[in-house]
Amino acid sequence: MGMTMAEKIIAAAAGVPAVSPGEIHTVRLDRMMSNDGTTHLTVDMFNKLKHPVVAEPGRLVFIADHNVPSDSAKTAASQKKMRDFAKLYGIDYYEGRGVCHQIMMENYVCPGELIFGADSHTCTYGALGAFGTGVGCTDFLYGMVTGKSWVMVPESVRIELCGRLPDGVYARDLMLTIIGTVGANGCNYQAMEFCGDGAGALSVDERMVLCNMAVEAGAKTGLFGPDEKATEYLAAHGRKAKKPVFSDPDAHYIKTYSFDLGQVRPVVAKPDFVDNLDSVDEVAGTHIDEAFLGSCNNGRIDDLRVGAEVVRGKKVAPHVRFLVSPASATVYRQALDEGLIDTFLEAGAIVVNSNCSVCWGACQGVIGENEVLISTGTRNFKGRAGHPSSQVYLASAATVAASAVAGAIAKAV
Amino acid sequence: MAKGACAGMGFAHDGGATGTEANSGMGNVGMENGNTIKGAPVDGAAGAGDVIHARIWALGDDIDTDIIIPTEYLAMKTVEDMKPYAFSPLRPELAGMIAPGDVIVAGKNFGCGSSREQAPEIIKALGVACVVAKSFARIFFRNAINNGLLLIEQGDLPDAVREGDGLDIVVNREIIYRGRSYPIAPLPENMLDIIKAGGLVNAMRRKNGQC
Repeated sequence: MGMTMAEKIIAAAAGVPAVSPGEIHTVRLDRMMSNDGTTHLTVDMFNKLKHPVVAEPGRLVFIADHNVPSDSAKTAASQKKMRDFAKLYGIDYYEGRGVCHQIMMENYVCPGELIFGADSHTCTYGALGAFGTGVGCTDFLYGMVTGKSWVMVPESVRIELCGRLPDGVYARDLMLTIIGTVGANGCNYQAMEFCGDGAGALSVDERMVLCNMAVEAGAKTGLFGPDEKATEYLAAHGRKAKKPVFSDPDAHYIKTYSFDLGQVRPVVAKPDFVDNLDSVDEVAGTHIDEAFLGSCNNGRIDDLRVGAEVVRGKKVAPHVRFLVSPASATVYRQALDEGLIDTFLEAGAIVVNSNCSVCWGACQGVIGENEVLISTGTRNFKGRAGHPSSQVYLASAATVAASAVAGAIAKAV
Repeated sequence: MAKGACAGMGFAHDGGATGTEANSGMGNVGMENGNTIKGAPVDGAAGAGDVIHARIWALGDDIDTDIIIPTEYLAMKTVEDMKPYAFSPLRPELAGMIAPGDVIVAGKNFGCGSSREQAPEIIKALGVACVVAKSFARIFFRNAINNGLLLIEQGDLPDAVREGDGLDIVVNREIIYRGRSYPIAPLPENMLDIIKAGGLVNAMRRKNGQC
């Protein structure tokens, strides 16, 4: 029987001809990424080891993006620890350049790679056909010291996408719809593989939206076949697909879900669960206090273009804070060149630096008691963005921008 | 909504075990003979056959990592500092009421969300002997084992328990609650070794002195 992409990538990393779901393999990690959310913990553990060594510093990337610029003496101290460690061991280090996954996609990720990241949204890298998965800092430490780790081969789930999204409906609406359908743990441990003509029609940026939130369905990773769109993306960023991997026609999938893209409508995930799906129409008019456009899920140039178009010539409602954070410095500069930042500022938005920002719930735009946020971020868990009584709705850039102007949840027209 | 089961996860390593499959494969790995532990932290106490008498704290489905420890407290210096804020968005009083040796019994998808390892660390720091849930999110599962926190997947018990009641966990064998036995999937021996050592780093240190 043939293998899925996920199985082939693990087989290659394990140095074996074939693997099957449920098997556990020791794998060599092509790359590892850690951010300032937990790197200081990894460094602390590393320093307590009897024989502290970094197996292959060239495979590591450290990115400060969660509390950037540092917002307290405590975060400054933990970032210093990370910065000093990176310097000592010659590890690539970024600070203030954007959200870690965006930086990884722009600079490192290649098809066929197996990548561990000490961040749950590492599954984003499947947009380029790489197997990215999130781990904790102890697993990261083990990989950093040995260059290896173990994985259990996941079952693969086929997410068949057909047709095209209607005007005014975005990849974000599609992924929230998918999660709402399969459930917040519907793909627990599994690999979600996006297939079909609808998948092929999505840009790499749109594919990132889908893969990024695979973890919100419990998945270990999300994957697209690295077709010519992936090759073009890589070429535009000065890289080549060294070992692209595709699923075999007779590969086994434990389940198939089919989605007709033409039927997808603008949706929100209501508080406090990502699979608490509803149409924008149903919740339209819900009062909001803050709107956020940004994050590793939805802060790329396409999203900023959509948001800017919605607010162009309009004003953010007087009682609303509208925060915009481009996903990386590269995206930020492009948005500047295209005049999008001007448009946001003109409308009364607060444009902040490229970082995790409101989505992380600690550094910028933290919301207060009983406040309501509408966000393009990754999660809407209870208290995720601030006070435990606050509420978060997840929606597309268009819906977020339209809501910022209306002062209540609204569909973009 | 098609809330799928955790199919194909017969081995209890990464993302929780589907009880019946792991049960049928592993049998009882029994290494120690029924030590009885009460009110003790789980370090060095999670051998197969050990009995944990514990008081239950009952939680629902989808207990996410932001509930276990909200972002705003992550900058604190130690997990001891963070400990009082565990579960605070949901039940601010809970952390202060949990006593060493208690257990948490929860619904599906426990630990979903972020990869923050402070989540299992804090539960362990509170002295929780074990978390029993219908299912666990996969990153949390790995992190919990790596930090020496015992997790048990059990599909029926969470719907039956009442907070404050006691239960008996016979490690790797069964949970006894109100006279009824609830079978549990045994963790493989190497996983139990990691839990007994208090986590992966300690286990490696013990094993070969190379870490």
